[in-house]
Amino acid sequence: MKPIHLAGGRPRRPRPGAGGAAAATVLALWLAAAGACRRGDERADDPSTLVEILAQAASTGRLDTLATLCDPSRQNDGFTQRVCEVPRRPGDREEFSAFFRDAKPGMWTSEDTAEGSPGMVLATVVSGRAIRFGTVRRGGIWYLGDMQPVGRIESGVDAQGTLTERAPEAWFVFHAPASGTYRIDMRSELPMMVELYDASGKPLADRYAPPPSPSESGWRETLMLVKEMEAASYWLRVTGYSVPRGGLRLKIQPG
Amino acid sequence: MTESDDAMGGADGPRHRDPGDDDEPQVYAIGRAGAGWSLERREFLAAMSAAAGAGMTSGRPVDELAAGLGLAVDGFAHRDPVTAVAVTRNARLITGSRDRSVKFWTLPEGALVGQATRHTEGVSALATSPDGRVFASGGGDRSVKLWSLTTQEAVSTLHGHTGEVRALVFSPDGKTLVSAGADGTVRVWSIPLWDLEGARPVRTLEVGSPVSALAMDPAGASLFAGDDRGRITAWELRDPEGTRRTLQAHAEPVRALAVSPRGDWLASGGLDGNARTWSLPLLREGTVLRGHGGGVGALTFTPDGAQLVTGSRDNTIRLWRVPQGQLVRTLRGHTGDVNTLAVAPDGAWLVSGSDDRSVQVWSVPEGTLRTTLVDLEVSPVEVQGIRYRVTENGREVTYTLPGGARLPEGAVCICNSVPGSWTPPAPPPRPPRPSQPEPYRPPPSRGGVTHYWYPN
Repeated sequence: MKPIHLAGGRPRRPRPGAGGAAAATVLALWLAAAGACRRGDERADDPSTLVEILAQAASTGRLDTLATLCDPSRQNDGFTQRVCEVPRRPGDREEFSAFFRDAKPGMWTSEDTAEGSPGMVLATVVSGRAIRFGTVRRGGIWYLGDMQPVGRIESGVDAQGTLTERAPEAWFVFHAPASGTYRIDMRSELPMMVELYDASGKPLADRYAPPPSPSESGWRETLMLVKEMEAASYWLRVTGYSVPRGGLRLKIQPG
Repeated sequence: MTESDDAMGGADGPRHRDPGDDDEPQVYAIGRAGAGWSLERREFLAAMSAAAGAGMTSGRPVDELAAGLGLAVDGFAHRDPVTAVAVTRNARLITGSRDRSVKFWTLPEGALVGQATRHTEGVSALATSPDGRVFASGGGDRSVKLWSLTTQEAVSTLHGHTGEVRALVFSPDGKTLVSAGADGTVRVWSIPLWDLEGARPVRTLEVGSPVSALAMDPAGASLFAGDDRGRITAWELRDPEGTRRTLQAHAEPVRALAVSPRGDWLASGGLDGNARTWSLPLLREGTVLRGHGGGVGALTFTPDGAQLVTGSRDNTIRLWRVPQGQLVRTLRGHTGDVNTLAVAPDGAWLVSGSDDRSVQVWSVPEGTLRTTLVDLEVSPVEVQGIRYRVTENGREVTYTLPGGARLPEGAVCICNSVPGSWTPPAPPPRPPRPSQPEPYRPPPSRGGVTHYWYPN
């Protein structure tokens, strides 16, 4: 099969918390930096503040703000709608607090700030469980749209993940210690799509599906070369295509 | 070439459109079949879809358009009998079938927007949580599956039943699910609000006879189960002792139960052909609704509580005024047992599922059939000739088309627009079914990444 070459590079938007000394600590640094104080009208800046508001409400018991978080055009899914109804459902408060008390935003995307634009926040909640929040921008403010669980966020340059019906996407975060070209070796049991983001949440390449036919070993093997990478953190999102479950493994090294 | 009801072609006839005309949808749906012409349902509906995409059928359901074309839509929603339908808070329709699949449709249009097969035996029951988070399915594989309505994917499986799961109901707050089935038990499950994997059993209630129907009152305080001995058993859920009452309701198995939206009436349907109402909370006998020519397998109240809808093995659906029990209307359209019914939250649409494999959407106020849901994958059908009507110079003209017919202005094109040169189109490649709600379509590549394929 012929190689596919994509040329060019994209400027990356600097953002606090984008770097780290070691890949293993990237996730923790990210979560800590992203959790820094941004409140109130900072919902205009990026959607991750929504997760911080959830955590604050859950830990303090001051729940009134929750009612303002849902899409005013009433396009919410049932899970986020239920979050916004917590102030008027006393029976839900304990469960809300337990689930969202430790919520921390990780990577988010919010490039387009036009009215109705979607955003995304990858966050961890109770027991480190990963949730992807869909968000929407209305009147210059970010609102919750939907939420769904994803697999655990794996970090490092040699990481494994599993896609299931329950967690139909996997996220990896890794740190490039120096500028240059990196190779990402991917092995998967299922057809998959890969999206690569820089630390600011900008997609570096469009989705990528590896060969449709597995090798004799049952694994699909693919190489992704990423040029002009800076010494920074990067995120990979992997989703299955037509097959709901399977394992996958990524190895990332200078190439 | 088939004769038309009026002249075709000529100076006064319909104007021919060249294949290159951008404003004419290039739809190819007719093929020769023996001495006549045939039309694959898949192609026909693809044609409808294309025409709709061109703005030509905006707001018109497929069956209405088909009727205008002289076609009868008798497509199927599932490969096997439809056993369960449910409508979500935001008007998404879910159907389940003996074919093991669960399908998702828009309502009332009836566009298929997703499907999944996660049960290993037929699906017997569906229930949606009132808050629009989740729905549950139960099946012959003895499992209950919890699905996220956000992802339309099963996220948790509840085990415990030792027989087919036949009935499901959510509590009004969405935090409790009750299941029942052929093993004669009623099982109560706790459903977390945001962590569906944490669902767990709370209580098991023994009935002693297979249970095919469940209902809960709007306060979530009383639970009702109908069994194969014709009995209704009631429990007070908030009573830790699980106090129960049992009454003999029907001479044959109870197949359906429903509580009115205000919680003042319980309705039951039995294989004895009757539906009955019972006043709550005391379960005093109300009215016997007689008239069906077969067992009553489905029941639902309209959201305003003014009418009770019954579905029967006599293939009909009946609407009754409550509590008087006066027959308001009979809906005929199915050709098999009506197994399941659901009414949209706004009360505008009634959905019915049947042994005839179809799902039909009815206008409640008008009592008319709005749409028959069609899954192209399971609905091949041949049609001999295609007729359509247009208005020309103030008069309605009907044309019968084979390939090559010339089209009048404004007509919906379901034909080859190249006279005399029609050849059957190659079937389009069948796209793989995505596991995600939205199929992936590779966008144009961009950005500083180089991909290499590793040959296998």
